[in-house]
Amino acid sequence: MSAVPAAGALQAGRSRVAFDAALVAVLAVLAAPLLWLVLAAFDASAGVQLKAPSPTLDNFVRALAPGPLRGLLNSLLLATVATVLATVAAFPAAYVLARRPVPLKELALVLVLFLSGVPITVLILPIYDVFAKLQLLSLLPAAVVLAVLNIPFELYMMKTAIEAIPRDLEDAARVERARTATVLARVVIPLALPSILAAAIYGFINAWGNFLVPLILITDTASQPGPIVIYGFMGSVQVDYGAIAAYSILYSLPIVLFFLFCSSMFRAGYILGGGIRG
Amino acid sequence: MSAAGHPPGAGIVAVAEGRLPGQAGRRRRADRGEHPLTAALLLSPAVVLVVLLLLAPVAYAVLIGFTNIQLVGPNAVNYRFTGLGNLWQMLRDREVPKSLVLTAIFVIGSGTVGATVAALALALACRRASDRIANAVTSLTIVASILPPVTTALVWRASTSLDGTLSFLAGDGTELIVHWPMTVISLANAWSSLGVAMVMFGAALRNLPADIYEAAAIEGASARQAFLRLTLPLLLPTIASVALLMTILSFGNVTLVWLLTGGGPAGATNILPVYAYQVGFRFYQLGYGAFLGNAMILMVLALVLLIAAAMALGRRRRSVAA
Repeated sequence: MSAVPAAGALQAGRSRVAFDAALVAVLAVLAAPLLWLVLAAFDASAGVQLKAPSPTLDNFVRALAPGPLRGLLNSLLLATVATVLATVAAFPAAYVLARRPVPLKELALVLVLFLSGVPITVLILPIYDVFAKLQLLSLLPAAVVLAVLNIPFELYMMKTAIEAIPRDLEDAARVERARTATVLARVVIPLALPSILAAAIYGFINAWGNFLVPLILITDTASQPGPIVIYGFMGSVQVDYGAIAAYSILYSLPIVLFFLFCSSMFRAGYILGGGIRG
Repeated sequence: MSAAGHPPGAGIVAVAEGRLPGQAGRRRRADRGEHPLTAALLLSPAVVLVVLLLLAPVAYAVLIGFTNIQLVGPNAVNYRFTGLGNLWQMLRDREVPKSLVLTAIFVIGSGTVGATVAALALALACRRASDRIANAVTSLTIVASILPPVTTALVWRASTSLDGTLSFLAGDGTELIVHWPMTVISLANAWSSLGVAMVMFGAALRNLPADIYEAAAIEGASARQAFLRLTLPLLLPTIASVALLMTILSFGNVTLVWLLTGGGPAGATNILPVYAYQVGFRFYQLGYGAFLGNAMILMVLALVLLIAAAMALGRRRRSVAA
């Protein structure tokens, strides 16, 4: 398994235990903030300290009150619209860019990297200005903005995957007089499905977690998604740590579930940005 | 429509244009790819969206960086082109040099150096530890990096407040987030960036050729020699890529900093993206804020070109070594 073998079997065993111990300590420190979250959510008297909880489910009851609950539903709507829009727009474009003989790969990579590196605050000012003047400061336009922010990377992910599909399959279909739509539907999509799903998951995670875009572009409090609700609670004079922890867990649950069910996709690096390799 | 219905010679013209004889004008030869019109149609949704909502705002932002437009106030409607007026304001603004230093400390300290070194150390340690623990560490870092920024900010704020876990570890009575805000945002940033770096290092380590290590072992090289003389040099391209990727991601990680400290207390964590946001939305100086944004775009461009160069260099080195 290891490409860095130690000098002897006994030494390897001993050093393995040493590394295990060290990593467990590291794991404890890295996990401490998250451990607090879980404990506080079930704690009737939650504060910022890491302590044994006086168990209760009350925090979750408060977290699912109508107002905060609507926040979660808004998040669902926002992220779903953004993801569907981004993936549906990016896939055909990825197909064209993958099959056209123009050598775009290097430029595409640099462009994608650049667009994802520009701080969101640079883009948000002009978008706000225009949306305010056009009276578009509501949930659906914000979802479109979120979609656009995801298109470059989703396109790059799917393009890389489509390039790996042998052209012969498509050529065979075309020889059988298939039109492009048929080629896409019967040949490309089934074969590229893992990458399409990975791109969609990537888009969903980003849209679900995005804070600044909904904060600035959605003015109606009833349409604001989860992050804004949490932000509002964080800013109160007397922070209800139990409720906010419970709500955060509910809000972060989809992300964790994605990871648990698709962990292979994350480890292989596709969703995290493994496309950015030399 | 049969070929007999066409005028003579049309068949040859049709083949030359990529259409097969005897078919309606829509079909193309298999080796010609799809019709440019089809390609344009497939590209259009993405292109329209990106041009309208990504390129246009960036272009608009660049342009208003040279005006004195305000969000509200006298210059919100009647604004004018002021050329490099915002440049002079930036040079006179005492917050800017301070912000640049903070940005450098934050980006280089917790991104370029911090996250990269930590991830490398962890990835190396994971290869020497048992599988289950290595998996647990990797999983935790990945979850930490995909967690919504609000959640990250919440748990880090709680942990570094008075009596919070990390404040407590630092010493009883410490209030990390108030007295050591730069440390807090740097740690939080590194914590949330580890996942990507670990995945990349993990993949690179798995791809190291085993035979050279066998040769080294035969030659009697110690583990440390193997690491210093073989592993590190071979990993250098990956380290460069990861370092520069961490730099870019840290530079763009505005949300986390904003949520944790809002740039404070008293501007102590006012990295440039946060400051530019304040200039635009709190002081309403949209033009000046946009100009700061232009400066940031240039910085990111420089970084990205560096990454591209590093990766190209890495590829050339690898092809030489092969």
